[in-house]
Amino acid sequence: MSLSILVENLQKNFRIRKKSGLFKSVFSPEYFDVRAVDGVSFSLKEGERVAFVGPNGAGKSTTIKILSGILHPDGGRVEIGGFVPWVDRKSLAYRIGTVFGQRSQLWYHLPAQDTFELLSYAYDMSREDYLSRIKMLVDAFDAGDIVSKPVRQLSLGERMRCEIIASLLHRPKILFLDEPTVGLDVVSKGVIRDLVKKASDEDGTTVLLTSHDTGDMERVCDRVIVIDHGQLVTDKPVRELRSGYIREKIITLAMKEEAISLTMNGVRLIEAVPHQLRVSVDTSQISVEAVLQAAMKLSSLQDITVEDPPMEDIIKEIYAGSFV
Amino acid sequence: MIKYYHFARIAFGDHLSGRLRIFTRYLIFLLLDWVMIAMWDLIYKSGYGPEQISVVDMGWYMAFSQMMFFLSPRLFIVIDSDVRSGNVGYFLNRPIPYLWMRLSEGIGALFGNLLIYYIVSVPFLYWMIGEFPSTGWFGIIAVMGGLVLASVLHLLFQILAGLSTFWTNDAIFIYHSYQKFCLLFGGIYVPLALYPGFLSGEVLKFFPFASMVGNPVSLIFAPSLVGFFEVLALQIFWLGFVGFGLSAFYRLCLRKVEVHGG
Repeated sequence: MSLSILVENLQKNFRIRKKSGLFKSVFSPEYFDVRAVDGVSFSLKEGERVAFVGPNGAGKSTTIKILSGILHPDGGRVEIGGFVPWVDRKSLAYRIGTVFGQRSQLWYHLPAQDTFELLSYAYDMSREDYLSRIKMLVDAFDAGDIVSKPVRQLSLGERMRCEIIASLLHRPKILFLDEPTVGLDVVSKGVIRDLVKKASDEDGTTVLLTSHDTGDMERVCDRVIVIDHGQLVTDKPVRELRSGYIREKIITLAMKEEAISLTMNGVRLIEAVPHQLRVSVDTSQISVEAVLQAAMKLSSLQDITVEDPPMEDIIKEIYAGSFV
Repeated sequence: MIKYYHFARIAFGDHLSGRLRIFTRYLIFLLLDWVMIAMWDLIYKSGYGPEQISVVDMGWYMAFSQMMFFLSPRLFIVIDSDVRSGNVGYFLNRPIPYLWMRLSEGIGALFGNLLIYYIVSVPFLYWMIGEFPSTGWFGIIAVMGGLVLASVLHLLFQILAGLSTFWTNDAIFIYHSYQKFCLLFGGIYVPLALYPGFLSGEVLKFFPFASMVGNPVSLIFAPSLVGFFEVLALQIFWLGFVGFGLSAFYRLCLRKVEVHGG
């Protein structure tokens, strides 16, 4: 499988004007640099789906904007399917699709179907190709009732479905999704995630997705790249992030006894309600098996559940530097 | 080119769907015409009107010179808003240059306005002025023909003003400054032929401002094929010149695109 995206030592600074007095700001303004991306390197193979996560201000969106040709970097090397994004903007445009959750790329005052039609001309699609493709996408995204409404009258979830249709219209090889589920309700998030995954599976589209929602990365992506302060923190497959990085298991015990006390090194109480106990086990100190054996000695267990901690907690720990 | 045609076509339909906006703008145009026609009527009645131009011809001149500014959509506001909000950046990853995309949309809306203003204005102006110009329908058609490229040139200047937001953070004052130049040197309130000696109309007519207003609208006084093609040739020259400059300016602007991370 060949490389789809190659990023080496990417750097980007933003020049910000210092706030100063009226006279100084007019005649001698001062500036300072904010380093948004600081030497990030990674690569994506064709068809890979990768989550690009990090706290606010980590440099995720800036990186995506550089990769999609919107911003010029200050240093480093980027190749997207053999093109340098900010140099070969037009050629690259035919090969990528972008969705920015916080911005609409649709024409706000027009019905979404007019935007699709305009984009089909912009991407030089033949009429037959456009008509068959839009029918397929509108059916797949169940958007038949919404595409004739002006975009400004759509709900956020409806608009996001139209944004993704617009981004997939020209069969892009690479899809950049910048917080595509931001502000959506649980149902809409699920729909968007499933549709993106399905579209990627069917067309072999490479997906690079930024999100604060760990559900996006778990449901859509196979790999997670975490950045913070413009630097790469970790780059792992999602399952490895769970198994390799997790030194904690959550055990929920349902028992006949009203309460038991499970005081052991490496075991932390999360919740105790009558006939139920929920504890966190640090597996570097004590095994899950040892905890269960101790619990069986103390009680008549009726049910046992062993879980990984939520992905959100894992990511929080990574941000906090615990796993670096 | 076909893709630009379709952008213009969809903008044409979209523009015509804004009926209230078109109606109020047209009402303002008529009010302005009424004021200008009444003002010149008073000047002529006071005995200060220029002898070489009749009050009727002057009325038609004033109406058409005002019309030019109403024919084009206010594109500089759209571009100013795109630049200030950072939206301009999100158009860059499409295989159609933002500059020509907005111009196509502007031309689409312009043709919507041409349709309305040209059809509706002639009876209204006839009603306000009371007579057709001395050159008859030939004069009216010549002016209408000359105002098409004039309005496209005006669109290019509007785009220039809009893109200046990259530096000034506000296109309005740039646009207003440009409009003052048009008022001064374009022959909007007085035909270029009546300009005083120190502002020679013979020189000013070669300026782009005159190509947008004074030159095409002056065809109402003495329309001729030669005169029409002279006006057209100068407009084409300025379209090429300003279009080339705009293209270079746009490339400069692209370096200023800054869309901060989310």
